[in-house]
Amino acid sequence: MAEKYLDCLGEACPVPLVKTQNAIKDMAVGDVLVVGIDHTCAMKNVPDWARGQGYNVEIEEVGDGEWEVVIEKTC
Amino acid sequence: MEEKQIQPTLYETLFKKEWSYYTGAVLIVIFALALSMFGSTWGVSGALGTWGSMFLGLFGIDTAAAFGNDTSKYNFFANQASLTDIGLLLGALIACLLAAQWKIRNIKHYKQALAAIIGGLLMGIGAKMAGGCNIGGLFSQLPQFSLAAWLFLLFVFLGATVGGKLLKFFMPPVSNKRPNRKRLSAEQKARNKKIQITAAVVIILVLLVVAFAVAPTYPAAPLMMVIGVGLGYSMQRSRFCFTAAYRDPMLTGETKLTRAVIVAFALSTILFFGKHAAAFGTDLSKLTADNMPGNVINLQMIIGSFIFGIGAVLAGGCASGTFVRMGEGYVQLWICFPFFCLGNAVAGGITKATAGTWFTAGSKVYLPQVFGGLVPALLIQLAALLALWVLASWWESKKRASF
Repeated sequence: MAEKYLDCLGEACPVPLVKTQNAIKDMAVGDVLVVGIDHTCAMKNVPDWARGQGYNVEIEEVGDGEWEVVIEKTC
Repeated sequence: MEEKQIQPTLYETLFKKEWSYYTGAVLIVIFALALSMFGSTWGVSGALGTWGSMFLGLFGIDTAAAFGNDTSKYNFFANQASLTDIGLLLGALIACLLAAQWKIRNIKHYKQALAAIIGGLLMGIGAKMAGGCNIGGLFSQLPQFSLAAWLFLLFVFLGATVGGKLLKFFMPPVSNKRPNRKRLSAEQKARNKKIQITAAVVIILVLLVVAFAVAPTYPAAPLMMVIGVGLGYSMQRSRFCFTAAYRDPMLTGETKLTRAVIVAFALSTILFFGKHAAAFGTDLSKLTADNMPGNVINLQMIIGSFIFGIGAVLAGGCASGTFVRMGEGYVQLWICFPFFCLGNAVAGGITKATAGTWFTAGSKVYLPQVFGGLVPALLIQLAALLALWVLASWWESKKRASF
């Protein structure tokens, strides 16, 4: 049950989603990835994609227009 | 980890919660139709070339002679594209402030600046050669049954695919270190929210004052401002992005925006069908090159849309996306913007130098003339869009299954 942070602050689409996909590929089932995002589009398309894959997703607004997307690789 | 379901507050529902892509699509189509009825069809990149030319003019460059851009008669408040472009920026800014989500979104690596500069130049040059950006060359034209717009779509997609391959050279390195930022307390969040909402209200009031002040001299200006702000607000709230529609299928396998843009095309096609039927009637043989909708199909336009696709992927947004993201405070797009303007201005030289040659030789193709009337063209175009929608949906499931 490892937790990993991925810093995507200041990055525009499609970089956050591409990096998230790459990171998830290398993770084991049960691991958690926390993606730091301040791109308003990425805070929609990263969770969209992860939910579509069947993972558990939580979004927390940690600052003004800054989010942490917590993705648990469940399958 | 269970997914939490928290009921959003009224404020969150009204100003914060992002809209669906389809909500964005419907609103954008309505605003764009309003523009085409009360002014001319929506375009974004044209004004950027004018601004680039005016900037070069400061250095004594005769842009009219060099690039065919005469800016001597330009007037901001009498120029539809200028007003709607700034409207996009301000609409997104207002949306972002009302949601208390505005901040300066700085770049963290020099490669992002490099991508913005190269992407901006390529987009500027591409949009000039193609006769428009994602908006002027595609979104405003495809629903008007122009074959040039379908070709723009094909080649911008190919360009974006190449751009997607180049993107890895411009990506900031992966960092797994959590930046050392202080989490805001509830009081700090509440105070920031108050400041941001106040700022949004002030901007709206200033805009109203400006609209009233210019209305006597430029009667069309207030409406153009409202439509521009409406477009920017809608694009920000729904996270609508034209570039993602043709970039993401190959790069990430996501096609939700692709399908939303296809629905926008279909809706807009139906609305423009009515407009064209009213304007042209059943006899389409009288249409001449002058009053026929759409761009001329030539090599310059094909190459331009391809270059534009590469640029839009590198920069992180097309022309409309650049304005929306500038409003949201993205430093990367503020870097991109002047290079878009300069690229667009200078590329006028390409059009000028190749005028009358094989490079720019071609003609317009209006699909209702090819298919024998507006009704068959409407049905064929809607069928083609439906086929694309199904293809996009199938592609996303396929990519998901193989991830």
